[in-house]
Amino acid sequence: MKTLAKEMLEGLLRDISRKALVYCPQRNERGDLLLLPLGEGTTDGCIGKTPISAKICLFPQIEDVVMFAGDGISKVTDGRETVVFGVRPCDMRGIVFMDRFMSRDNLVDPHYFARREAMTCMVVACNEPPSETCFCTATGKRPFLTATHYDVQFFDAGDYFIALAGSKKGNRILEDRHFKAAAEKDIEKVKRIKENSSAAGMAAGELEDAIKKLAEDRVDGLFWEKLALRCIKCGGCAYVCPTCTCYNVQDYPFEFGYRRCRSWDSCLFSGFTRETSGHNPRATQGARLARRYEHKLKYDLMKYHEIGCVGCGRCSDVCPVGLGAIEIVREIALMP
Amino acid sequence: MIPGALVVCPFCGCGCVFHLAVRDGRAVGITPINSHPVSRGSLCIKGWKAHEFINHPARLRSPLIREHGIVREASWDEALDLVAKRLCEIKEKHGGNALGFFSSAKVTNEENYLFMKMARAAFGSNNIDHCARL
Amino acid sequence: MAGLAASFGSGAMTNSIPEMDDADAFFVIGSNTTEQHPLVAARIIEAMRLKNAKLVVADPRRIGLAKLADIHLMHRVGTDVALLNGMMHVILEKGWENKAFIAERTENFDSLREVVKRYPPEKTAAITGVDPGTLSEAAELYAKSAKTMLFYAMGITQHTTGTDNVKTLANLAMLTGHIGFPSTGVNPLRGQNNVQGACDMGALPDVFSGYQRVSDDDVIRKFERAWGVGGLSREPGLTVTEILHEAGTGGIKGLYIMGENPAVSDPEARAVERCLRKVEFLVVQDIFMTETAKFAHVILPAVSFAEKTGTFTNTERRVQLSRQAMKPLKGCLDEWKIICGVATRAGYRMGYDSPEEILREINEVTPSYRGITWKRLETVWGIAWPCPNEDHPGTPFLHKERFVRGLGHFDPREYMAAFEVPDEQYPFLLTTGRVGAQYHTGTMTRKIPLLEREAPGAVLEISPEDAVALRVREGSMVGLESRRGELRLPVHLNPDIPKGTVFGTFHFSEKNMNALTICALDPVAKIPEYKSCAVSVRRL
Repeated sequence: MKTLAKEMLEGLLRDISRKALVYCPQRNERGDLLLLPLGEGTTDGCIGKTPISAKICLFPQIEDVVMFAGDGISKVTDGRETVVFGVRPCDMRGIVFMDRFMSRDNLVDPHYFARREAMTCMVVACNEPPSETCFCTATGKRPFLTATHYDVQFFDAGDYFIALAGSKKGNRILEDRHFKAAAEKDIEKVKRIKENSSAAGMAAGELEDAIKKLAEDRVDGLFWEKLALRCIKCGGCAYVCPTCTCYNVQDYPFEFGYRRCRSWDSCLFSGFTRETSGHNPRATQGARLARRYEHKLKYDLMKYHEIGCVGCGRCSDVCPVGLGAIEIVREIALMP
Repeated sequence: MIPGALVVCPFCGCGCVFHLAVRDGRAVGITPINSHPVSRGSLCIKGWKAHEFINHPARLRSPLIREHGIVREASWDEALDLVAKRLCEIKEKHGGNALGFFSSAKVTNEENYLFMKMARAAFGSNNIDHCARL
Repeated sequence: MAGLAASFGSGAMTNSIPEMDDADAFFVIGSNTTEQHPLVAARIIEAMRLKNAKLVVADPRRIGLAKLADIHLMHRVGTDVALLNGMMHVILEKGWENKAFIAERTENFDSLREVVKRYPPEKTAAITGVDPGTLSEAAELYAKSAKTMLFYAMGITQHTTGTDNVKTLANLAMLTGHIGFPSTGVNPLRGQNNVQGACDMGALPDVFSGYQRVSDDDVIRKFERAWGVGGLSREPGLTVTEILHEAGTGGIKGLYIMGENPAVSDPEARAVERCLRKVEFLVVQDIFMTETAKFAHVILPAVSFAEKTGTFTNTERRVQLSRQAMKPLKGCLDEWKIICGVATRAGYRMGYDSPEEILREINEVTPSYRGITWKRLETVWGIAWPCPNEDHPGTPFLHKERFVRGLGHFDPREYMAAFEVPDEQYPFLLTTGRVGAQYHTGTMTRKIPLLEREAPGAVLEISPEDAVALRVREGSMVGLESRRGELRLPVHLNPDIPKGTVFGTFHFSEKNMNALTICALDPVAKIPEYKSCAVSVRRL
């Protein structure tokens, strides 16, 4: 356990950035918090929930996966050493969720894991929920990590952070000159922070109730069709979700051949499941919306014994028409 | 320059603003902006994908001149000289009214203003319009 | 725009988007908002969900918003004036008009009363197909809600009666006093990110920047002084459609097209091609090899929005700064640098260092943009014009306390049928529009695979009833023909389209609906009637 004075944070990140690409939440000129490479914004008060989770560092919006040139085919992977500071506990759980998905049935996604192995996650636990749409507490979790999925976990102790390493990579980070040894009282402080923190943007009972109703098939198509009339089909809920992994593959010519890219996709688009014949097994927006929430709150639970929602609330932040998890769970809970 | 910036969406007239991320000279991503009064942290299907056409291989990368039905690459100097020369010739021979200018609802105010100024001041033509009517 | 300018004195969206949060009711006509302006539609949907706002939609198709609306007026294509006059008839009959507003802020009310008298609900129903009960409910909702915002788009303007339609909307807003206050107004939604700015900057045949008329001697003198030239023309020039026509007849010999694609976007596409071929010298400046560029003698590669800095004016008159996110791709040049290069080589020196310097000149010569300086735009999310000086906060809503022209002018219009109506030979009515995943002629969106997958090609949308009569199924190929051209394309059965009407888009150049549309123009605004022409549909 070490401590880091808050004014030392920038120095620490600069030290790290000599050897690795550093991402951290930064403010742009209008004060919006965005997850950016160090130096593209300012690091003042740079802790909080960014519109897009840290998954973007592992699974970018668009990336090259294969190059075809002449007779040659080469796989493209990006193993640049990357350190992400300011990962939220919920985001970290999302990454752990993705790790499992991206290696399921022994099919390891090489592009994802090239990045994953080269990535160091510096998690910052939440004393206070960073926004009113945070609801990890309702999912049965707390706004800090107990299992050591992180490399470093920071706790905010006012003027300084208390840092705990969760991996060898994390231990190396804590060797940086900006850290100081922690005192006895810091153990007590971490304990208190843990006791007092919660993020209750959704009542736990509501989520349990919704999960139960979905499991019992009590939510019918009409319910979803009615809600889906509001959907503007932007795809935003999938893009910002820390556990969403869907992508579309596309080829572009370049001077020597073709590059194959993958880019974020969403199950709320009609083309996502449309077959070549024109038939679409999820023919309506209601069917697509139902599928999305059944996937998160029913099938993932059956398959992995945990729901596919980490309670970050980003889908409720990004949706312009109130079709995020918070609103939908409430609607289901209100059903008789 | 620092890569990435706050940009106005290139599609409809809503005027959403998003952050466009750039890595290694390529546009790679879009983040919606919470503080923007129109977009308020949201975007539509097109806005979310606006980075994908910027580096498209079909982008025009050199001035082109058509001669005897064949299109060839040209330098900027040659192309601009030719444009100015031919438009001036038509103006001398037939007057500014023989020229037409289509400005664009896709370019900036500054560029629209300059295009309008060029049509009127350099070529003496009021035949300038754009697709607002279409 | 011409219609609003005549009624109010200013042809732009009267109110702003953030005001939508506080509206009690919305009236949307001729706008498929969810597809074309998704984030404006989202505001309506949220106001309904969170604040119980009401919604009336008038559209011949059962569009997305219509399914959420409290009232959907499914009027026949091209009968907007009759529908609106019918609503006003009901409002006057029931005494729901805003008498104080009419007395204090408007003129020519008596002539409105005279004309509207001729549109009793039964007659309106005969023209529009909307039953009197529904009409009355819609009129009541619009008139009696405290704050109602009216939105329209190309479904109103792209008719030979477009100006009449707009004037009639203005009449409705004035009759009920839903204008000149926050969360009210008559709000045209502009289709492109800088269509408002292009108008504001004087990319129009009859005005300089800020709508200063070329026919005004003082204005001419002012610009001659500012630009250091003599002999600026006082004669208004030609519009897009007229320029193309003149190009076809040899009157226009040189044409310079910047970032537009008339070969696809203009009506009667085949005639447009003929005109473009005929031009002696055609310059096209664009970022892609558009269908129009294929006819050009010189093609100039410009930069995309990401590679430039400058200001754009959105639909609510908000002037915003857009920053350069990346260096121009190698070989491409900023539009403003290209223009400076051409003008200077033509003997008129343009030596600007930056877009900031150009905006400074715009501030100097354009009263409505005077206070919208670069420095201010760096710190705020845009400023709405008019903004007469640097201390002025901008004008989110227009016509407060008085209309720009003084009194609001009632200009009652009579219903007129579309230029071309279905007949025995061409029994269907073709109306055109956009879909959400594509944009305009598709030069940008069709390069984005996911968008192309969402809307993968041209289809002809027809009602299931017509499909039965034509003996076609989903995906069957049909021959679509008008007096101007023909297309072969698959059908999509859409229960949200009325019988007798078919719908298509102009996103797909290989199956372009504009091969069939008609170049019949609104006599004032010169907008072609894209929304209505007669076609035949044949099973292949």
